[in-house]
Amino acid sequence: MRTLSLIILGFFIAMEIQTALLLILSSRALVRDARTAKYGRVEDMLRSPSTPPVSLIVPAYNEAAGIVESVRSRTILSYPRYELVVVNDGSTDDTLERLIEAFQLRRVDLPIRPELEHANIRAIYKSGLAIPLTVVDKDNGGKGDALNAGINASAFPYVVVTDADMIFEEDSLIRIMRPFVQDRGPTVAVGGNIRPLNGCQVSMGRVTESALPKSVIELTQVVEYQRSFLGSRPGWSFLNGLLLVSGAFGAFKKEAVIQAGGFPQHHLGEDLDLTMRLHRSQREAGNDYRIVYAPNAVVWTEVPATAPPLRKQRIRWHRGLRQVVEEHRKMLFNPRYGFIGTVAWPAFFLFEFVAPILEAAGWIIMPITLIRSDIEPALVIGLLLVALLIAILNSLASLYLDERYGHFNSPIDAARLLLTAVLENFGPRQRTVWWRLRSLFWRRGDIDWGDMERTGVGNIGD
Amino acid sequence: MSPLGRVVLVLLILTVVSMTMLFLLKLIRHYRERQAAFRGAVYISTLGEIVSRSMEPSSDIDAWADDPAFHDTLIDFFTLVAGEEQRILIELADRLHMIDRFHTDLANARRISTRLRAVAALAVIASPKSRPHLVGALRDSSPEVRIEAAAGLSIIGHPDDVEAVMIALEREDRWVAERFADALVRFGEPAVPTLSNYVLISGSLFDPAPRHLSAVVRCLGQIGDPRAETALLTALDGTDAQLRIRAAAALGHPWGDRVLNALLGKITDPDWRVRAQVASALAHHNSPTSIPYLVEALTDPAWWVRQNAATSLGAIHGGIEALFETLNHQDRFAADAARAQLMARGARPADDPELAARFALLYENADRSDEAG
Repeated sequence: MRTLSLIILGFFIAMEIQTALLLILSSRALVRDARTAKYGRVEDMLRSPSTPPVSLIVPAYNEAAGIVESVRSRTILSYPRYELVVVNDGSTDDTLERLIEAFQLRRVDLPIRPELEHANIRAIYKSGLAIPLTVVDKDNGGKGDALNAGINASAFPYVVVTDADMIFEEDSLIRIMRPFVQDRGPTVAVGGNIRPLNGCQVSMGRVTESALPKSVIELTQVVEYQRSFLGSRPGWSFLNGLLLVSGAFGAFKKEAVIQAGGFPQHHLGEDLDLTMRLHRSQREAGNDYRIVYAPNAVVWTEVPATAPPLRKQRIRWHRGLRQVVEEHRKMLFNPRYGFIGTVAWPAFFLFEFVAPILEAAGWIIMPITLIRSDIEPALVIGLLLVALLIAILNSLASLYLDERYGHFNSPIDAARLLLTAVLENFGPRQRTVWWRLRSLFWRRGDIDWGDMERTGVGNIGD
Repeated sequence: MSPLGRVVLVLLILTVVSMTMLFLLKLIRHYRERQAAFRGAVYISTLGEIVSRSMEPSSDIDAWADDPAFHDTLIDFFTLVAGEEQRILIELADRLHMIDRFHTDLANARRISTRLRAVAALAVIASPKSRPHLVGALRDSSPEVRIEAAAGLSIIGHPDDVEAVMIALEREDRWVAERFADALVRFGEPAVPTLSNYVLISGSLFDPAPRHLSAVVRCLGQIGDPRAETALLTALDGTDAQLRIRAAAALGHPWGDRVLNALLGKITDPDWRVRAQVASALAHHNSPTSIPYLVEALTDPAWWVRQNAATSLGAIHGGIEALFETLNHQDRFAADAARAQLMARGARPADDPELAARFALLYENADRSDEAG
């Protein structure tokens, strides 16, 4: 029992040290990125004939509340040439009807190359207005299925996938496409930076003022997102070991996606699975390739404001991770896949998938060892405090990295954010562990995409 | 105290110190931003008065020369005005020794952000006396500084600096080289002889071609001077696909049959990106000779080639008829590309009554299928 307790504590200290190392690498990557964000001459890309056209794919399932505003805001992005492909994945509300009415959609007979598998397409529409909008209406098949249909219907060699409820910044598209232009050969995918929208002021489909949300649940997610998108992903990207290009905002070379077999159908971690398969197919083909993260390509998303949708979201994410672990277990510790197989994927497996199991075991075993006096109380409490303090320091470091982007600087926001970085370790963290554990006993059909109730993007913070 | 206790204590102190520092940092930033915004408003209002009423600046303004917020305001303001108003601002910057200060910062500042601010300011002000400083900055360790320096030189536009930018371009990675190429385009016609010679010499001496040759070819196309014809035709025959893509795009100028025939010869290039650029470039030649080639390109497996071929047919005299003929093509993708192009022409009236009737029929069919849908 004593040994097990020490192993668990050691595991957590190792996990936090890994996080700290990633933070150092992320910091280096972000310094460079902040400079190019300011002086990167993205306007040159807008004029340059070498900027490739891109298809922006938006899967939608029961998004009637905000779909029109969402599509409208995406028609005014700064980019030389792009098309918008909205995929209505068998919505049971009036998502399609609202699109038809707002954008004067006309049914067209558009031939599609069946490069990727997906459910039956009922109809394809083009806008009668002067905007490059295609709407694919199909039977319900899940998010990955909808994205595959969108990719098949898309015209251009690069695709950017995004959720319908995301709020774009004017230059989000050009910034996420920049790595392809900068290094057109080897880059096959680029992940964007997703920030919580709750509490922000939104006007005309744009975030006009960033502010912190009110509830603890939302605040905790702000810190979590910063830890993930600023403290971890830039570091993995720096090492070319990025394992997750978010399906909520990610850019892909279409040819590479088709080569990897597209998004998986009926999958809860379709973005993680595709990123893994991209690594796999590129490495198996012996290609020189890069999957990178673009921190200054920012979109904003509404995060769950109450516990029930957050629970569903976290269970879905962890269940998706479990599916990916099962499907890609052959890559674990496999030198054939280089850095991905020997370092990145094992670290992801241990510190994302196994960690909740060990953390839960720790919370159960440690009191027992203390009661049975198998281990000195001072040692247990000391190691616990070490793990806890490193976790807080990691969160603080992520907040420090965000300083470059100048958000949440008012005295009240600053104080609330710092307190959240400490207090999230007492309650919210344990609750998330519990949800992730529950996901291991999840039954199929309980949770699917589009579960979160939307207020519609125009309403946030108004 | 035990070693573990010491570790905990150190981490605890580190946490408290980090929290306090981060809080103070946010607080300082908050108030500095507010102060800078306030000063910025005062600067804008004063500069506005100086420029609009040709006012003599008061002596107080000398004290502003040290404030980075004033530098930013002056540069922002500079980009908003033109002619006489810009001259007044240059005089003001000179009087406050700001241009000299930017020269010094560019050469000596250790912080990249300071050098960047200086070079960005010099690029906007574009004073001829900054030329040697900007040429020197083409060797700066920061790529962003080098890009701004090249941009500044191109805005000043002295032909002698073309070669300096060209030499610097050869040292750069792809992204920076493309930005240097943007700068070379801004030099315009005076850059054409140097760029053409570079393409002819390096294109014939090296196989594969130097990695930045395609950027130079792109420049020549964007400048659009016929003196570049021979160089671009050489590039179109290159072995490197990227070079041929750029050359095909660059030859989209009506420079005569020699160019037209070279392009038609490349519409069956093995690389689809070359075929797509050729299809697009042919529109600018507006020659009926290219119609059968473009109709054939409508059956190309690559969407982009079909799309560009259809667009070019829509622009070439006699091409519309060819698009109507293709509506019944056995290749569905060719027919679809033709239909999409004809529909995209919208309500543009055709001069030819027979053609107008065919358009009317096309729209009527589309409406009917809409209703059926």
